[in-house]
Amino acid sequence: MKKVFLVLSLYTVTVFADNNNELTVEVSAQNNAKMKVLIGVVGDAQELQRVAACIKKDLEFSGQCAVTIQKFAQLNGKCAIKKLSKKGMSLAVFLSDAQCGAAIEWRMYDTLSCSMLSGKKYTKQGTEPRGWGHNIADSLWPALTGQPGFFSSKIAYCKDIHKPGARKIKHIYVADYDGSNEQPLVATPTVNVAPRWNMDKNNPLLFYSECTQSNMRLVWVAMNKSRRVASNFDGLNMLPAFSGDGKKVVYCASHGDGNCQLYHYHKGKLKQLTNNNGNNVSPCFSADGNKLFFCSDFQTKLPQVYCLDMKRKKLERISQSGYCATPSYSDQSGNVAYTKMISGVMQLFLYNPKTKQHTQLTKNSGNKEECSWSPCGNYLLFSVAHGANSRLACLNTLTNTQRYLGKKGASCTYPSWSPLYNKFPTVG
Amino acid sequence: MWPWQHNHKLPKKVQFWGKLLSLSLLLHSLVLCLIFFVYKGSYFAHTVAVDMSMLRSGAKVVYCPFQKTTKRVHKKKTRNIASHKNLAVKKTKKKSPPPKKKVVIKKKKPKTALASKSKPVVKKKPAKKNVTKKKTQTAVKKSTDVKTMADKLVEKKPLKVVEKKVPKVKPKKIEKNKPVKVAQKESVEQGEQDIIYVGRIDKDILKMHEVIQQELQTVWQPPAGLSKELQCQLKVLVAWDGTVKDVAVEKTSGVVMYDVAARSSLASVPFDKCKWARGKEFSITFKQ
Repeated sequence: MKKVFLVLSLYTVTVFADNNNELTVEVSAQNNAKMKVLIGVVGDAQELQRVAACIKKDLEFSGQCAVTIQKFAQLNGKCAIKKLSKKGMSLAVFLSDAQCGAAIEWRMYDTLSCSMLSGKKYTKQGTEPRGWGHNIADSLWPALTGQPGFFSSKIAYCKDIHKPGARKIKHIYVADYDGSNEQPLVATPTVNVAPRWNMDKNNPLLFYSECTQSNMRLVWVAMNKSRRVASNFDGLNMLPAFSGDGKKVVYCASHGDGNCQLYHYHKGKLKQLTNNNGNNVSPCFSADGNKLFFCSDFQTKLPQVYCLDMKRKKLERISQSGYCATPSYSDQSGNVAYTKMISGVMQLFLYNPKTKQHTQLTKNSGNKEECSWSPCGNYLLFSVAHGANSRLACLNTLTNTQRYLGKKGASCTYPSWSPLYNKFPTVG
Repeated sequence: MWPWQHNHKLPKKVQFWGKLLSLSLLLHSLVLCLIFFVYKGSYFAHTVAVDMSMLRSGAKVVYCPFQKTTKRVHKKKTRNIASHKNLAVKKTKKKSPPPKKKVVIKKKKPKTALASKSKPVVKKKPAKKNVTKKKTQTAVKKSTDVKTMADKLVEKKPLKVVEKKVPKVKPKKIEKNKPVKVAQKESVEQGEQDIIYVGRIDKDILKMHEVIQQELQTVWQPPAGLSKELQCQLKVLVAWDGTVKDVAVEKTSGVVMYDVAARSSLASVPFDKCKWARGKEFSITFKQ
């Protein structure tokens, strides 16, 4: 019996002797590929089809996803999802009506493991299916990439209007984040420039400067096209910047003395921030509202980017040389983008206030002007001027890829990217 | 009871061994059946490991064909080296009179790329110069042919003590020779630290590692525009037929898109081509 036990123990020792080790392989990516995502529309509702088309467009904007839309009469559990993985779909998003058509339910599945990754019920806001699609894409995007969404945001810009026999005028237009569905918001027969969005999440307003016979006055316009004058001093009244909470406003005004100064409006009081022999323009607040970035030429006679600490009242010069203009601060990334002239061409630059390092973002031809950050902090909207023609473009700072927005031929300037409002803004 | 018990002609010793043999056969078959039914004949997980960070240090790799894994080899080899070291010191004391002969301890170098990079320190005799040169030349040729990491593991022989005659040294310089001896000892210790011993299984794993890495690098294509610091670790179990039996996320990147891309890339890896991977479990870290 002892010998039998000996034989048994020997056997088990030989079998399980070498099982205590592990192999770890490290792989680095050589190339990038788009992720295949399927949007499944469950049911026959036409609205859902439009919403799905909108989500497809949104997800494909970043260049990270390749989306296909498929109709499903019913969702037949795990078998249907597993079939999708064999077709090469890594992720599946299913849309279905909920609450008798008052809401849309979306569920995101990992097709390989047939497990639900996330899902939400979206109550329809407004009457525009495009807006529902953008809102759903905004809630889907963080679940997918870990980055905030921006698809419900809008862009505003000036567009040159040429009428034969009449003087050149500029209208204010509003479009979706990708330049599609553009609509005129201000179409008065004069020059309207430099639109800026407010920060009130419930009440989107657009501030712009209107050229009159005596001055350049600051006007705001609501999405229903109702307008009101905000500042009407002599000379220039332009470029308002709002703090994150929407309570502080800084804008530039010349008061007819030739030099443009910055004015701070808070709790009904107007206070002059700068007093120098130069033009101080393009202000923008930091995330906490304590710092103000702006452009001024009072020291070098060439515009430079400055940072004003509003609590300590300290002024710091950020750009040291060249022709630098139009700083724009991103609340998400905490970086400042600005334009700088390099070899006679205005290029985009990035300044990191933490590391105090400047990085050149663009190197291609065309003068880049008036940059504006997306709410997610990953995209920069700006106008590219080739001679007399100017076109809107968007730079993805993650992939450093640039794409033009809107149709070719139209001359568009002064772009401004809106924050994310609670309700998708629609004109009219 | 037993068939051979009826046959009284067989001696008791033979009967005992017969019993033992049949019993062990029976038990073996029982255990094998048990394993077969538990794992359903699909796979038998056999996991193995090598500390890859050791290989990145640029240290010399010594292949020990009679050892399975590095841990065992390390212990034994360190003992061997220690004994060699003692021997070397003893030999210097016994054989060489200090003023006339100088003892140099030399490692025999591998015939691969690793060996070809370092020049030989000591040459025994001028007549053998050509032979050593030829050897190094052939080593260089071989090294150009063989580039894989696993094939660097060629050095098989232990350290050797080589004596070299040094031109006459005056007895007054004895004091100067003392620090030389210390330096020799230090070099031996440094040499021990730089050598990595690799066993039979380890060599196989290194090969497996290389093949899997090559296959994965062609397939791993994450979406562009995600943070460059992202990485996720998956544990993969490959079945005997080369299909991925099970994938588990060990460390998530925190980004669903990245994790899913890593998982789906595994589906297109031809594990059936990598014969080493079959029936094995290993971790894969996907980096940007």
